[in-house]
Amino acid sequence: AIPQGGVNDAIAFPPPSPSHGSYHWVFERSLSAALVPLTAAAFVTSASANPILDGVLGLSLVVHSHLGFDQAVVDYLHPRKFPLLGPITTWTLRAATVATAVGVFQFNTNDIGLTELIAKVWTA
Amino acid sequence: MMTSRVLGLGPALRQAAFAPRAMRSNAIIRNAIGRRSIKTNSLTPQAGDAILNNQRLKRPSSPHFTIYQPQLTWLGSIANRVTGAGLSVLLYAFGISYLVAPGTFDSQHVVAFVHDLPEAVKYAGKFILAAPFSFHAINGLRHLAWDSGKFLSVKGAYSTGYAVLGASAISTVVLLFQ
Repeated sequence: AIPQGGVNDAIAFPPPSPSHGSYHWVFERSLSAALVPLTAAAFVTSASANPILDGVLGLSLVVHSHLGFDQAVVDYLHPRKFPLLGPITTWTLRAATVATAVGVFQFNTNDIGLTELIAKVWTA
Repeated sequence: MMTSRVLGLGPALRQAAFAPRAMRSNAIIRNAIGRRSIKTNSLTPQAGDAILNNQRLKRPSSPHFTIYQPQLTWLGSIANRVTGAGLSVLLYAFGISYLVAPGTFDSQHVVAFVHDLPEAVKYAGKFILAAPFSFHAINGLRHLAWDSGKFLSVKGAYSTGYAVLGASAISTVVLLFQ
């Protein structure tokens, strides 16, 4: 799409906002760093003995996935160039993340949990 | 004059101007110069911009992604994104499927379904899961190292890149035979 005001005008900067800037970055990287010991712990312990670990791991994985997907949407479907498809994809992703988080919670509560499932499927 | 320049009549007019007096009658000049039937329209700047923008939208872009030399740097980067996205799609699909149909996707059905697959398919499936997971996890460590300011040079990126590839291969093999 042709930018507002023509191609010879400077592009408008988004308003500076730490929650979308440095706080977002710090949160994203802290979560990625936290996933390292969580995954290692999930590998060595048994899931049925640690449902809290399972829950924390499940939530962290879902949020980590959401942040990754969101970065890809911003990179490939930016609202500046895709004024309709960009926002639609962003909100669809948010809905899907919420649904996945609820599904993972239900699975961890009513069933054996993510780590146990992966262990069982791996040795099936 | 601008119009004579636009219509390409400069040389013809110059020739007519320096011609002998006898040749300077209107009829001879009109026929010597020849007729060029170009009509010009008068447009507002906005209308001109609209035509220009439509032309710009239709212009092709030169090849960039298809011709860039494959390098460990950007191949590793897109591989990190693709592996992460693939694993996340699997997680999202499972989460949403279990939410929508817990009877079909509970652990007993899933484990039974996998158990009934042929051995080769099981190994292939484990490889398809283990390789992206290993690469994404170990490349993630590389990213966290960069975020701490380490290995931020071409040499650093390449040496850590090869280390990640090697470690991912080892990890995949180890996971495959668990």
